[in-house]
Amino acid sequence: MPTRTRLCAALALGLLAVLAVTSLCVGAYPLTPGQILALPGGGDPMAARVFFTLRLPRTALAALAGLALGAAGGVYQTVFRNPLASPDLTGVAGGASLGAAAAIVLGAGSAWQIMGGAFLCGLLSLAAVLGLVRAARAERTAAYVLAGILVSALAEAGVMLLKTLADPERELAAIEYWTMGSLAGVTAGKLAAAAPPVLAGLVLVLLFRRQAALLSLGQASARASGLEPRRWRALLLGLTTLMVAAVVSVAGGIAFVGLIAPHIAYGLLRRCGGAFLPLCAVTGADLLLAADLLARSAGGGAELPLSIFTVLFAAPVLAALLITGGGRADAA
Amino acid sequence: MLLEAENLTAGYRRPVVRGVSLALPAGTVTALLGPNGCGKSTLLRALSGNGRVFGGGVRVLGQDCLALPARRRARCLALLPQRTGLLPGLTAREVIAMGRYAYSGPFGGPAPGDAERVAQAARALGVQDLLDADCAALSEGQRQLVHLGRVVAQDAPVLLLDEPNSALDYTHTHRLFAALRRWAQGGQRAALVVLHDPALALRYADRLLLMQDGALCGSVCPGDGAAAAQAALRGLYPGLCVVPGPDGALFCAPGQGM
Repeated sequence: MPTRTRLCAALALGLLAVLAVTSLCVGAYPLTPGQILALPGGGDPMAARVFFTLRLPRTALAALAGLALGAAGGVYQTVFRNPLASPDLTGVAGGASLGAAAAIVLGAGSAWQIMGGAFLCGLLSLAAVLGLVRAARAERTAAYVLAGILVSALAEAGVMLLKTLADPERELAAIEYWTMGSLAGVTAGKLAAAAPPVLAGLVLVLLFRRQAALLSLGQASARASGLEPRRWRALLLGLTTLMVAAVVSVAGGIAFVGLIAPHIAYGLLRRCGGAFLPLCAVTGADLLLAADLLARSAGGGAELPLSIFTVLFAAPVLAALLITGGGRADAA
Repeated sequence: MLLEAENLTAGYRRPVVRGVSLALPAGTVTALLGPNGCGKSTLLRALSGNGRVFGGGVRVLGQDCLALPARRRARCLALLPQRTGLLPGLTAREVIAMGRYAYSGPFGGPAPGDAERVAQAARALGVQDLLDADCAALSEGQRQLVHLGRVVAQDAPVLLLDEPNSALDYTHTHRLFAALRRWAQGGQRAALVVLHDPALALRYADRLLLMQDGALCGSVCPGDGAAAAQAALRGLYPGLCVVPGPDGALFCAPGQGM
């Protein structure tokens, strides 16, 4: 393993460990690492309740959501050979939010309904964006961005409509919460619902990273190399959409993590083969854990929406990319 | 015959190539010449299972090429399109190793012996010293050689190359075609190469196929002599002069009618 890869892995995983431990400790009822370590042998019952019902599910879900969004962004950027492809800009995240909102207002709002709605609308949005790009007959960055903006705006309009139909007592707050992203309401049950699709998708896209790289050569080359491009593209995009939808259904719309995690990973590694995709995932988890820590501590007791902080993280990264024109922006 | 196309009509929304029949015998390099937009690239793509086939058929190593699953087809036939997308951040080694996908395990992982094949292909194209370089940082010509290495590493008996020399300088162009001839003569192999330079085709190909408006309009072997080659090539290049060169190979110059 090259030295640079080892350094990047150590940095990203070390940061992940530090952030995870901090996330387990920090909150309205602070825990110390000592208290947590004492839990298996009994320990303080109040500390145990806080740890098992609040802190552990929240930390695990933050890490899981970050892994999913980071990996999804890495897959999108590889498959579309486009540095701006991400769950946000391909309309998947917007569509998934609309699906979740529809499940809350029109359905019973159960965890499975929300996830199913998010998955379905996420897939439909992706299909709409790809259809528009195809109709434009130009696989340029601008076509993706415009199509993504169009579909995301439609999804947003749908969410606005649902808000006016929503019961202001219960449903409206729930939708508001979804659109801005938050891990405040995470429970062990929600974690259990989101973990299987996220983990399955994550393992499969990591296994299939050679196929994703082959797709980046273009359809004709991929097919001539022995990879059926339509089938693999559909499979990889279906898996990433499943992951993103599962995240959106429990944590709401978390902006930009899927877009910037691959750019940070590439900036560190300077490669898009080898350890790139795993590093995208871990970087996403780092970003999300850090954002969630700030969301629960920066407001002085009040929970702030996650997207405030992910956007704050993303702005300098995107500005740097814009100004230097560096790295993967050249691929456009 | 390693590859045979019969009465092939293919294109995208509508046919671009009409009624093309051709055969690639083992041990030979065949050149495909014709003006821009006459359907050369479409023909190559159709032979490799890309685009839409409206009629006719293609057989590769005796099997129905268009019905083969992509992986099995890739072991028979490799294609280098005019342009290949490339993400920055991939090393030459990783790009060449992509050519080994058709031999990979169930999850696409590398097969035993892949590393050796990648190194061999890199040596054949003279890019063995660039294996750890980022492909995006290479010159256009070097990158093209790496892509050729990828196609060679695919170990398919039939190679389809679409203007492989478009980014190469004089020396690299001649090295490339010399390597291609050696490759074809080294076993049960055949290549079909789209070219724009009749001089290169006369020097390195065993046969020249001439294409115009989506159909083959003639063919000639350099072995038939300068007069026959000149007569056939003037169909595409009016006034072209073909003469025997100093080393016996045919040589040509544009004539008055161009």
